[in-house]
Amino acid sequence: MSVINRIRIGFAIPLLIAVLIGAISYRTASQIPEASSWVEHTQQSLASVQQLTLDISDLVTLQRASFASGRRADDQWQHLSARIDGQFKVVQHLIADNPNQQKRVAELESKVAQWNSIAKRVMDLERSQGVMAAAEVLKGDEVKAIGERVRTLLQEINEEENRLLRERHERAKRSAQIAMQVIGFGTLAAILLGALAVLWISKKITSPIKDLVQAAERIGDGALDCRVSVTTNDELAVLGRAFNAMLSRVQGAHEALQDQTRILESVLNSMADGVAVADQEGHFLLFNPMAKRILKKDATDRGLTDWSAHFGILLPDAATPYPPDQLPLARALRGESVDGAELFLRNDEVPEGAWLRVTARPLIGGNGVLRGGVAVFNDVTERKQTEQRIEKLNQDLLQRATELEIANRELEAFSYSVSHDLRAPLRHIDGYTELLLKSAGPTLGENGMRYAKTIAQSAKNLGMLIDDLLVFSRMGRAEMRATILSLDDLTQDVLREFEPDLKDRAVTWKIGELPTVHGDPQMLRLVLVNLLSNALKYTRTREQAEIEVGSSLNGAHQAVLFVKDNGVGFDMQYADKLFGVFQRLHSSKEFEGTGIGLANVRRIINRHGGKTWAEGAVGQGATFYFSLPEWKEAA
Amino acid sequence: MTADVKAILVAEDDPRDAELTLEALSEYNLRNEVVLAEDGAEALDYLYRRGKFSERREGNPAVVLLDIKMPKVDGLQVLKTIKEDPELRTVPVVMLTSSREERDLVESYRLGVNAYVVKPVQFMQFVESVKQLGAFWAVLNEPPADSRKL
Repeated sequence: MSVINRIRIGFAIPLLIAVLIGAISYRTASQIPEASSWVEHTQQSLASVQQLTLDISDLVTLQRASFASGRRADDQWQHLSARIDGQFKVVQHLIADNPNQQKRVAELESKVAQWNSIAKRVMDLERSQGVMAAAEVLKGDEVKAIGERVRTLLQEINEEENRLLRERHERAKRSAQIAMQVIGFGTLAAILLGALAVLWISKKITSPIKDLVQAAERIGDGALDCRVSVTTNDELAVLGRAFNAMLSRVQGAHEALQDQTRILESVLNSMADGVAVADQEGHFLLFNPMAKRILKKDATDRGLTDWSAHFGILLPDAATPYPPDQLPLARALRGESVDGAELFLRNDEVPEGAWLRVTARPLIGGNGVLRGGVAVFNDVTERKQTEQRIEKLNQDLLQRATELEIANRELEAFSYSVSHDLRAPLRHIDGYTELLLKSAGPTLGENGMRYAKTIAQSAKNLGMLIDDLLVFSRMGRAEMRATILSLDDLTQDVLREFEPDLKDRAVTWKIGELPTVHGDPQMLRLVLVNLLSNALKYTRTREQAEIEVGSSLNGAHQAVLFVKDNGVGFDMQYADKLFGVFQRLHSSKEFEGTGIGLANVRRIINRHGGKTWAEGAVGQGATFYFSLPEWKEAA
Repeated sequence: MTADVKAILVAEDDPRDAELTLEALSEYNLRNEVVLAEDGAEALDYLYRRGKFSERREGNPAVVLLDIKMPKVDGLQVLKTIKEDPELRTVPVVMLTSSREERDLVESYRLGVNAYVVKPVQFMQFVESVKQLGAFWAVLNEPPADSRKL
């Protein structure tokens, strides 16, 4: 039942009873005037009866007087008779409600009428027969009986009216009393019921409210698990349930917060960095275990100005005490952010000292007010030492690199000289030999001619050797200019270059599909020139030379190229020597060459991050392989 | 008629190379006068008609053959001077050198050389190269009109 209904019912019941009592009281009270009117009526009746008695008595007195005096008083008599008649009518009217009285009055009227007729007769007798005759009549029993009867009747009527008066008076009095009692009791009952209703309502409404208040007080004291008991089914129950739901949410949020706090706490406890939080007054609010382990000191309560001395914090010169107001945490308390400040720590627990790296931030409260600061720090002594070692290594490395660069420059200068100065004398030897042959050829004789030609040939050979060596040196030193490069195009290009030299040769070319790679075009061109010219050179003895260039994929990102010929081949046990400088498996007489070509190939391929190898057998041709990182255009 | 034929300027410090070069040029029977400068400074003297060349007749050479490595003023410096001078800029310059070094080649082209020839060890090849150069620049290649005025 809802509270408002309860209040309605609580007030409706006493109200209903009050109305009932009012009605009863009204009804009872309304009977009082009726009873009073009956008393008045009876009083009127009695008065009229007494008037009648007096009138009748007057009439008898008048008749007796006139009779005794002998004087006729007909006028008075008539007047009185008329009055008595009128009075009878009044009495008859007043006692109309009482049949007994009516009977009596009717009899009295007839007796009075008899009396009047006798009186008339007596008057007439006196006139006619004298007083005596008349007295005789008067003395007769008839007159006596009538007189007696009239008196009795009057007495009865009077008594009856008096009795009625008493009775009705009594009744009126009782009516008033009952009314008084009804009103009194009714009022009392209404007051009682009203009080009961108030008590009931207050009990039903205030006790749940009291529960709520008590629960609220307990929650205020921190007992978030207490709940309001909901027994009714009214607005207070709704309030109670809402209160409980709110409590559940608050409790949930509180528990989540506690969980979060526990997590943060365990994070702080297990952190490898020291964390210290201080408030604006310089009191430490948080000092995690790592902070203690790093500083070898607990937090101090003596305030900011004592921090440097307490922990033993020094400037990076490892001697001057750190100005307390310049400490990262102190600066954070002033709202500054400090990143990676380095300071030196030395106290009695850390006599050898340690390097600390500190980051500090101000703590801003929800309303934007500065609440304190947090400093996060770690021991970077080892790192510092490592850095110093690295620094030293770097310097050494730099020194070596400089030396190397100098050596390289010298080498470059050397090769430049070789290129320029060593070739000049050779050119002169060859040139002047030619001039000698031209001017003195015929006089030299056969041997002389041969000697001169040999001189020229040797100079030429030495020239080639120098050129090849210079190329080899340059391939090692030159900067790589890598681009995306189609080996298909490059091979075709190189083959075109060979065409003029192949007029007298029968060569079957078999060129497969070659990949696109990332490399230096000049260098890779030299690789192809060397391999293809080798293949051509060593198939010279074959009537039909067969040279194949092809590729395969080795794994995901490596392209392998090969140049295969059906030439003179080589003994596999010397396969490793093939790629060495000045290493030759054939005599210059058999096949000319400087022994640098394949060394160049290996050097170039190595610089591209690839490998070189060869397979072959004497008289059965050779296959030279090299691998390169393949370049694939992003799809 | 000789007055109309421009000279060929050869700058070469090595007398043997110089002789071989002149020999090679003579093979082609060029009508041009071949002038030899023994270093870069002499080459510039010729071009600006200074020193021992102050009395030479007017006119720029048909072509200048420059060795790179020379005492006093090297070939690259001579090339730079020629290509920076508005009056000499149109004279064809050929680097005729022993150097195969790429940096020399790159620098020469950067400075505006017209051709770059590495002297082969073999004399006959050298003769062939020089003959072709001479023929191309001195006879076949007509320099732009403004350079003929001088």
